Amino acid sequence: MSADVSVRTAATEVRDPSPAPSSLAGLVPDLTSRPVRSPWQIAFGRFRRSKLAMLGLVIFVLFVFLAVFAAQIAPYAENEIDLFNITAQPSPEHVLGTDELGRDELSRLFYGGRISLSVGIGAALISTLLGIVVGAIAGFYGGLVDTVLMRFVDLMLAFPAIFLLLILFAMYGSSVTSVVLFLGVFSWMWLARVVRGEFMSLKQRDFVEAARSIGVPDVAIIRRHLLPNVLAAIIVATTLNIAYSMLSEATLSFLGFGVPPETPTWGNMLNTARPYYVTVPLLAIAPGLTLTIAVLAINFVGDGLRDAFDPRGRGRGEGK
Amino acid sequence: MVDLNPRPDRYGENGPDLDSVNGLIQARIDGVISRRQLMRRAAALAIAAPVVNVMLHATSDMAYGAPSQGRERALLQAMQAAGTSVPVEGPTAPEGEPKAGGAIIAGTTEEPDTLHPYLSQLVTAYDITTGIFDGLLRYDSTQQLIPSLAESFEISDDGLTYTFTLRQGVKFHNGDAFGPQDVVNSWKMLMDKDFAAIANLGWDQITDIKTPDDKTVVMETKEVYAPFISYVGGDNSSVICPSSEMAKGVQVFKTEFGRQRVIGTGPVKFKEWVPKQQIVVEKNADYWGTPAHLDSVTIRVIPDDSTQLVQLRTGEIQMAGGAGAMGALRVDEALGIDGVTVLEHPSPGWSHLDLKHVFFLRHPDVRRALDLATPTQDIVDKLLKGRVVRSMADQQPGTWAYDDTLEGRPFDIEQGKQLLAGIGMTQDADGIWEGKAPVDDPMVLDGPVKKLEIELWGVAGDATQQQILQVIAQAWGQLGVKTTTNFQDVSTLWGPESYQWQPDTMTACLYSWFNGNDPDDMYYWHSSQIPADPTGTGGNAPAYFYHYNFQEEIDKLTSDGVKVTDPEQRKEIYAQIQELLHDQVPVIFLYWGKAFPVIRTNIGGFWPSAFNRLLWNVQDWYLV
Amino acid sequence: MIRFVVRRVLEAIPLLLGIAVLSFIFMQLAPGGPDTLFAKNGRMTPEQLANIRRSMGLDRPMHEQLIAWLLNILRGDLGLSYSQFRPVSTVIWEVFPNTVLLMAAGLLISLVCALVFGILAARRPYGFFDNITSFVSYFGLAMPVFWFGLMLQLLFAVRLGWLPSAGMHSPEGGGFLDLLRHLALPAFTIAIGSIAGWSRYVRSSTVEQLEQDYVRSARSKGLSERRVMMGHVLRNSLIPLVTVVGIDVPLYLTGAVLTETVFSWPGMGRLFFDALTVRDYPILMGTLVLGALLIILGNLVADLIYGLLDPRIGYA
Repeated sequence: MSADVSVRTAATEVRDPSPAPSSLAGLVPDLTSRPVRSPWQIAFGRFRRSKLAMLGLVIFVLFVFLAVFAAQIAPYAENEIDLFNITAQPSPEHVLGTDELGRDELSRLFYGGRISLSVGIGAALISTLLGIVVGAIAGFYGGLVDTVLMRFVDLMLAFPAIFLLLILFAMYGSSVTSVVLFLGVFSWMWLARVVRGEFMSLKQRDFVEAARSIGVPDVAIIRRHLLPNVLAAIIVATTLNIAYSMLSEATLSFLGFGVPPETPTWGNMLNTARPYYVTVPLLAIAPGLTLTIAVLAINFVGDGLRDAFDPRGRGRGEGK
Repeated sequence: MVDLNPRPDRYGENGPDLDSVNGLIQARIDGVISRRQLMRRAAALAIAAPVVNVMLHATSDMAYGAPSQGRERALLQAMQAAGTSVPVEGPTAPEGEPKAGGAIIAGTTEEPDTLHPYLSQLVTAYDITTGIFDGLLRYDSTQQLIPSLAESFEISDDGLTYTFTLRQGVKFHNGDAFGPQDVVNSWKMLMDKDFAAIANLGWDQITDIKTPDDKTVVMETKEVYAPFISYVGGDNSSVICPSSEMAKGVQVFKTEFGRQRVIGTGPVKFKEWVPKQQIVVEKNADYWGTPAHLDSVTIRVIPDDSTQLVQLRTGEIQMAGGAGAMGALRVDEALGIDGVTVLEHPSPGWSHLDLKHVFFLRHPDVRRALDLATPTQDIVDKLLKGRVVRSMADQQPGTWAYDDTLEGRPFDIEQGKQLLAGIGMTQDADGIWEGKAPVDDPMVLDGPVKKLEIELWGVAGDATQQQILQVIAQAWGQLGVKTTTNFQDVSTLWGPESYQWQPDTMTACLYSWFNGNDPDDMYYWHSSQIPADPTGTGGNAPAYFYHYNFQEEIDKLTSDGVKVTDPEQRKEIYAQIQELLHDQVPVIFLYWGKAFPVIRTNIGGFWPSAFNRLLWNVQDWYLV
Repeated sequence: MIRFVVRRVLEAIPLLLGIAVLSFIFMQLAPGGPDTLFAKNGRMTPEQLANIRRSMGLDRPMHEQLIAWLLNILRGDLGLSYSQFRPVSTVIWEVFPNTVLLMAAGLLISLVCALVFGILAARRPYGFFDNITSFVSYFGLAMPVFWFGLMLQLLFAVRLGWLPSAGMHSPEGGGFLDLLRHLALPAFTIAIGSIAGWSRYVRSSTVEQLEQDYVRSARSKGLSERRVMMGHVLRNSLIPLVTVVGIDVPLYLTGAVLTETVFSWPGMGRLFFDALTVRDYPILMGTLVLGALLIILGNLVADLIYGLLDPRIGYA
């Protein structure tokens, strides 16, 4: 869906057609040679030195704050309709004017952030969970299981997601829950591939062989020995997926197939503003710009994280 | 023979023949007798009621009472300067000399599915086919039937046989001569099971068509069917297609006609169809009537009406009419464009909230309370800027059956609360009303305790509907009703798994019904019109689970309404129905819509209405 | 090489088949159905409804319908449209070239812009131009495509009136220049996301190339900076880009659908939305399958070209 940020970045990560271990594998030996600071501390230090990443983080935290405390901060309630004051110009009472039902645009931006961010985070979590499960199973067990699962991943990747999502929402109706669910269900495939690749190479390592030989159960091996090694990749992918899911939600809502229209989300606000974009352009500009800034901030954070976790990477979308 | 051209001067000393069915129809068309005189006379002659209905349909001016003055060419006032829309009273007649030739580009919102008049389901298609094809008769913009391929017709006294006299010298666009056999073949095709036409109402009443000579068709019908003339004569899908095309076989006629070849007898010919972009029709120089002034009309597909307005502004299109006409919310923007006229005509569609009669919604006081808590007047005046007409019941203002004594309930939430309290309901900690829901008798609240939670449904993608439902949701919230809103596309809304067939939720669905020519409203309220199952036909879905608490009363009134022929009596019956509906609030009545075609001011002869489609009189259009 | 191509093509067939089966199942599970709209037409009689169902083949058992659908696909027949009464393949082919044109124009713009910006930025990493393009790229990636399109439309078509607001041709036609004028805004809209992503990509691979020995030796031989760039660096930077382009096909498809709705571009996206409104299942299934075909082809081409350009990759 939409400007598929996560797919793009993920694509660059698995660009190398041979299932070579990605950046993370190379990180492991480095760690042993520097006993003083943990790899997480090192990464955090790097992250903090990146200005863009910190800027992104600050903006993101601010947006989350505004969304969480929208009820306290927003000057008006989210659905406070005022038919006497439809599409009003900006004024001291309504800093960004009012929409087609006389609702305060600024307040709706705050409340809209709630749903937009929750949808983004929710869908990204579902996607991450599915990606880990499928990737881990395929990578750990290999063989037939791997073949079947990876064929399924191919199948899912080949589906033109936009058409499929629109059909599903048109036919089954949509709610915040179904948007989160469907977006999550259609965006886990790249992560699954990454996790699988890492597992494939990691499971050959001695420590895994050792754990196996003393009879540690598979689930425990995966949890204790393998997952921690791909955690960084997962965190990066999840972060970028939040941005991607937010864009997707906006796209679906803009087309009229996303979150129900009375729920303010930035995409919904763009949808209802569309008929007025000539006469009251601010109604279309404000939510679009807000969404862009939010996505921008999350992308900064995601790229910052990637750079921090992967000292050899040159950052900003390069994987090779 | 009935001549559809009104000529009041045709009668000599003998005066009109008021002793036969056709004489009466003729006199009515000529305007020398009133509608009431026709009915009285028919009663005196002991003409059976259904036949009288046939006669009334044939003269069909039911929606607007007296014969209209609209046939006079009315000059449009320069009201546009005052920034208002102009009610359509006749064809537009801009100042200046009409030019010969020229072209008009009109915008429409949806691409036609097909230009096959027998297969299309979209009004955007009929907007165009009505100019390419002719039927036996045609409705003008005053809802009068006017001659087309038939110059006149005659109804037998028993109301079973219809004789049409066909126009001579008519040619199809491919050069074929039009004749009685084309009518016969069109009928056969419409009834062909393998062809599966979308609509064949009226035609399915025909048992046989005889063609005694080359200008006469005689249709035998199996029973007296009131709307026969209206459907077979004047319907948009009852046009005549050329025999040569139908002779190519059902499959070819189905898959190729209407797309590659679109051949009729109308004032314009099909020229080209650029998929998803535009359809071009051009002047038919061999038209049987006065040939068109314009050389061509292009219909551009512009799916978004704000883009349409942009293009009207930039001059990329010169007209937004037919299905592409603007709705109430877009008028202000249209009025802000230089050099265009915003026209306005009523629509027979009434928007309302369909209340599913389950639980509390079966009790009239609950429905009244909801009506009181619905800011209908504000929705009409503020949200829709007064560009719709508030409705009190199901008859359109301006029609003869309309009861103008009714007044809408005020927006009074306190009064609504009193009504709810009056039937023993109470408010919970969150202010939501609860109480025992009725089990058998809707008036007795004796069942398990339930909260007043209502799902609000609407059509997805319709901005106006979404806004209205949000306003209502908020107001009902103030009353103490818990609401959720859901939007679905129409086919899901009506589908077998839609909200209407779920017995455990109270629902209110925003929807519009479009009235026909007659005030007959059995389709909406009568118990016979409750669908037998979710895929059944019939318009009375709200009473699917439980009949209305006033079902017997409304059943009797609505069926009396179509039996009685005396207009005063009928009017009285429909007044009673409207009072009953207003009192009982089976659905919450909101408003009657209007359509707002927008044209550049230099377009003349344009005369839109709710009774016909865009190109119906394209031959009269001109530019100055 | 040929064996590799054949193997990849053979692998794509079960994928397509799977897509076809899944598409069919989605449609069958849908609530309501194509006849719901007919049934609620106040003028539809039960007999007519039965006729219509029969003529659409909806009265046959589910598995028969599925098998017929699969067999027809193999023959390139996507069935008959419910609403237009014409073969779906005809309906799709009428508008498909328009979508391809839009995608190709967008692709061309992105490739040119990405190469120019990427290489210019790489010449002085973290310099002024690099920082500017970097920031703009981030913005391009973060913007919703449709919103960017709306803003372009608002500015260039509505406010300034420089370009047409919608459509593909003027009503009276108008030739190639007219087409270009209509194409400009939608093509740029669809391109923005990939300009942003790809220019970053080109930048980093160019930076990598510039550090290679062959560049140093070329420079030391006294070749002009321009020749070094065009002759050596450009070609090697192209390799990774080409593969990314192939992989970004789904992105482009999505972009095209959105752009088409904003600019009333007469393509697959519009066809899809119209079909969705009237529940024309054969057309919906056809677009799904064709979309999948495009995506699979994109991946295939990316793989092949990657191998062609980079001799280190063998065709196992």
